[in-house]
Amino acid sequence: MTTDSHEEPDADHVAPVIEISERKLDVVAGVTFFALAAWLWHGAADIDTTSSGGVGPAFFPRAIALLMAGGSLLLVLQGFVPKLFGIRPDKTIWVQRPGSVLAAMVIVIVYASMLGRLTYYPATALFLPCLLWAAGVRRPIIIAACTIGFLTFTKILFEIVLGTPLP
Amino acid sequence: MLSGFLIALREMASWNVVFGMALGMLIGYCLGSIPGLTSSIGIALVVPFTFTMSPVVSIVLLVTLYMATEYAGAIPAILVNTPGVPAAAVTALDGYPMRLRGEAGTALTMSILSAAFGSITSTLLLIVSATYMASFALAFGPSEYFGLAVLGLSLVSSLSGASMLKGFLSLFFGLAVGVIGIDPLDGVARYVFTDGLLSGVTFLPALIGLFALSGVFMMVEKSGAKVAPLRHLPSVSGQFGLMRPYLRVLMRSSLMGYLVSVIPGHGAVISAVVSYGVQKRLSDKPESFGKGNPEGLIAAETAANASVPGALAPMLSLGIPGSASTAILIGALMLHGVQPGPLLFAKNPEIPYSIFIALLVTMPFMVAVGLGGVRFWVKVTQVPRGVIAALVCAMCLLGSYASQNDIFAIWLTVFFGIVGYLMKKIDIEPAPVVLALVLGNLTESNFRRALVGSGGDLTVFLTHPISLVCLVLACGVLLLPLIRKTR
Repeated sequence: MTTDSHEEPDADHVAPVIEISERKLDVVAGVTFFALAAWLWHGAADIDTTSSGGVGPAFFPRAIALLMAGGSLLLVLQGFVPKLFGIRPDKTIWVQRPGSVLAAMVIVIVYASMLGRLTYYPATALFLPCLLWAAGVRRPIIIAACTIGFLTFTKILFEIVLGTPLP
Repeated sequence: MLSGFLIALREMASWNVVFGMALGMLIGYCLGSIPGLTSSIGIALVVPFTFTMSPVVSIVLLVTLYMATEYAGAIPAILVNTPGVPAAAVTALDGYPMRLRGEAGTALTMSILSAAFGSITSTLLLIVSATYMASFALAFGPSEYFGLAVLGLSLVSSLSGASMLKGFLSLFFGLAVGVIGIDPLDGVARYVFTDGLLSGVTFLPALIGLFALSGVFMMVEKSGAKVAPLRHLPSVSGQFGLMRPYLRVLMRSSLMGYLVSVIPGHGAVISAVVSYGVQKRLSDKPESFGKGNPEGLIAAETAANASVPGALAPMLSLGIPGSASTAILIGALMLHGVQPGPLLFAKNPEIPYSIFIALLVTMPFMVAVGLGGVRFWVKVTQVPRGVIAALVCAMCLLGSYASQNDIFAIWLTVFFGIVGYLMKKIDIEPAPVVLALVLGNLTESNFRRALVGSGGDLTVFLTHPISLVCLVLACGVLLLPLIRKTR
């Protein structure tokens, strides 16, 4: 998959790891940025061009779209033909504990969607233990102490000190 | 200048300011002691909670936090060879070998006294240079501001990390995000596909996501790594006489730290590396560097801490962020309705002068807290990464909500958190996104204003000398790394 791999500085040797070639990721990133540039260019057509002299409100987004498209094509090209850019051998990108990272992202998304419905305290009382678990904390006493401590801290900070209502 | 100090002193004569300084210092020490939490993450996390404070209390708290975080990173660097902030990696080169020799207390004492010396000397340089730079920039019009903004954006080359191309893509992404919302001149809606984006992508939730939440995901990755245990806690002496033989090192490193960091994008890390390198070259015993030479420790720590006032100079006088942390400080000031830049000294003199006073006044307390609380800061370094990740994540989401009182802000933070994490994994630095968010609007609005004024004549940017100089400098800043690379 890769020609040259580098040891991640803080590598945890027992944790599950995904290794991906940097060049392949560069190509994916380049395509993503190109799609964003295309969206920006296309969206500029919908901007009302009122006359204010000089250049209109669509000029700047179009200029950014062009620059971004150029840059993303270079990145794709760099991924496919690295020799053209005098780039050193491929590097390995390490993702340690991919399951935990993905779980943390899903928990955060679910929390954001639940917050309006469940309100702050019940939602956080569910969210924080799940996140602590995903982050590798297994001792129930630590999970309970962190959750209760955080909820108490935010109650004092928001309701008493700042006077800011929570959702 | 004197009247500015008097105005600031009047504003600062309140217990709230003292409380703000103390809080900033304590939070800064806690954050800096924890590897993975940098000053930019800390400032982004705390900004939402400063809304209800006055601008002076808020900025004093944030600047104190910035300063304390940069110092406290040296504590775990010396004691467990794990830098709390990136610049402390240079401190660890000689600090950790000193601890292995049983000189942990001496190393800690030297590091904090060096930090204090670097910070105070650099603040004095800041006071002189920032006021001068701001008075020079007072005569700027739209074309000059455009030139200045382009110069600021060109500094992407120094914030890009390993790949300049990726740095530019990060910058363009930030500029693209910045055009969402109402257009600054004509009031036309652009790319508003949901009501939440009518006022644009709000700065703070995006920032919390890019820096803090993405950092949480990185911490989750490393959550299984064992924290290096430290059983014997050192006691520090606080002997000021320890520093007497190193006065020349202190002076040289302070000056170098300040001058390097005044160049936007050249923060604490580059300052520490340059100062360490120069000291090694000048030393009688260069072979002992990296093996516990106090000169190396002092050079790195003095320069890293002198870089904090240095990075504030372009921010206060020109409105250009000197580092990722100062970009967030600019955002924090803008949220209070204060625009950093040449007019800041005339319109809101209490802000820059409060910063100067805070930098000078806080330092002795920082020395006391640093020396007196070593045992506590060491314990902070031993908190499991998983616990820190979860609590920081919860603070990110809550802080984001508090900044807008709207759940949409949390969605923005989550989006930018995931984007920031993916960017970091493929070596795309998120700092240029912040640069673009801060300077994008300034660039576009002044470009268009200048063209309106000149009747659409593009040569307006070349006929104004300051704008021309800024554009030429911007070209130089962009081309220099490419020329170096081809050589």
